[in-house]
Amino acid sequence: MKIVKVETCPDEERRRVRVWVEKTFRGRKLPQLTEIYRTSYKPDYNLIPKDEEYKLLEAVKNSESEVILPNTIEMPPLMKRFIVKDHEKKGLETIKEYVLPLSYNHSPNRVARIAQGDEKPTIKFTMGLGKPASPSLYEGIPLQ
Amino acid sequence: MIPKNVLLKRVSPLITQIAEAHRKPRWEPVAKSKIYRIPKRPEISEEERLELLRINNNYKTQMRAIRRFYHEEMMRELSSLKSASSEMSQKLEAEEWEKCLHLNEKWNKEVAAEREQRRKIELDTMEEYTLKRIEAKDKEMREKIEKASAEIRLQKELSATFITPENLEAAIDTALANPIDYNFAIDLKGNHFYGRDTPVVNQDRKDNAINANT
Repeated sequence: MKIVKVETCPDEERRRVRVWVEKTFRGRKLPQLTEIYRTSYKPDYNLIPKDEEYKLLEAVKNSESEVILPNTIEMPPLMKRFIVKDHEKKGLETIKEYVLPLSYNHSPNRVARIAQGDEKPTIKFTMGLGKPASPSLYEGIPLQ
Repeated sequence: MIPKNVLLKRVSPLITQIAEAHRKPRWEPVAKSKIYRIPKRPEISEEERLELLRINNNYKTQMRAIRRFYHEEMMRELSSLKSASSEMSQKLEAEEWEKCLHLNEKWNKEVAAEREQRRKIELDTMEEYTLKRIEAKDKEMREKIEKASAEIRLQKELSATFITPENLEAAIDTALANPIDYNFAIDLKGNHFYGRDTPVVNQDRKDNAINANT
């Protein structure tokens, strides 16, 4: 959080101050300033000197791109075949799009947004291995 | 030398094997030499950790999608089944309702006839009962009147001896003329001893006195 404004308190509370900060959670800046007064403890915070501030601000700046989660995921290959056969057996019309709807756990802390309608997601989930996070572990192994 | 026959026909084998795993008993505590041993945590490199996290998350997402798909399919099938069965059941229900109505009417008629008969019998018995009661009441009244009239007759007869203002003087005179003393005593033989001041005389002594005198 970045301190924006500090205000002294009246005489009875000489040891305290009132502080307004700009909070950043998971790379997202909160729209309103947060007031901190009384309900806070010193060991919870760590004051960073002015000349080291730029490092922190940069780290925040890097993760500002919005993440949109996909709505659907393609079917696994065996399931595709199974469903075709199953629908034939039951006399139902065949599916054209082999996709499954995705469901996510609801949490107020999630910053990634779920795609609505035909929105294009920035991340794509696949039924395969996907793109490895650390390619060095797969050296010498052909990935499809 | 042991004979061969004995060896071959023995009941238990010469060398027995006890089937037991080579381990210490369950109730034995941790060995003294191993008390303070702390097993080393597995070391996972940052690269591997990230990759494992990604793969696991991926797997969970996939499984959730598949589970949701099949759950929705099941719900759809269930609902379609229900709707299909509901049409059939409605028709059946209507028929059943018609049948039930007819049966109910028939039963109602039977019960009505039965009730009519029963009411008739009940009315008859009720009438009989009331008549009987009225008769009994009449009889009772008659008896009462008779008793009362008998009493009246008796009192009328007695009224001739009553003391009236006309014959009051005469009654007082007669009463004064013959006083009656009710203070009398009776002994075992039934003799009446009138008067308060009558001396008590012992029969035996009296007899003795008579004997002595004579």
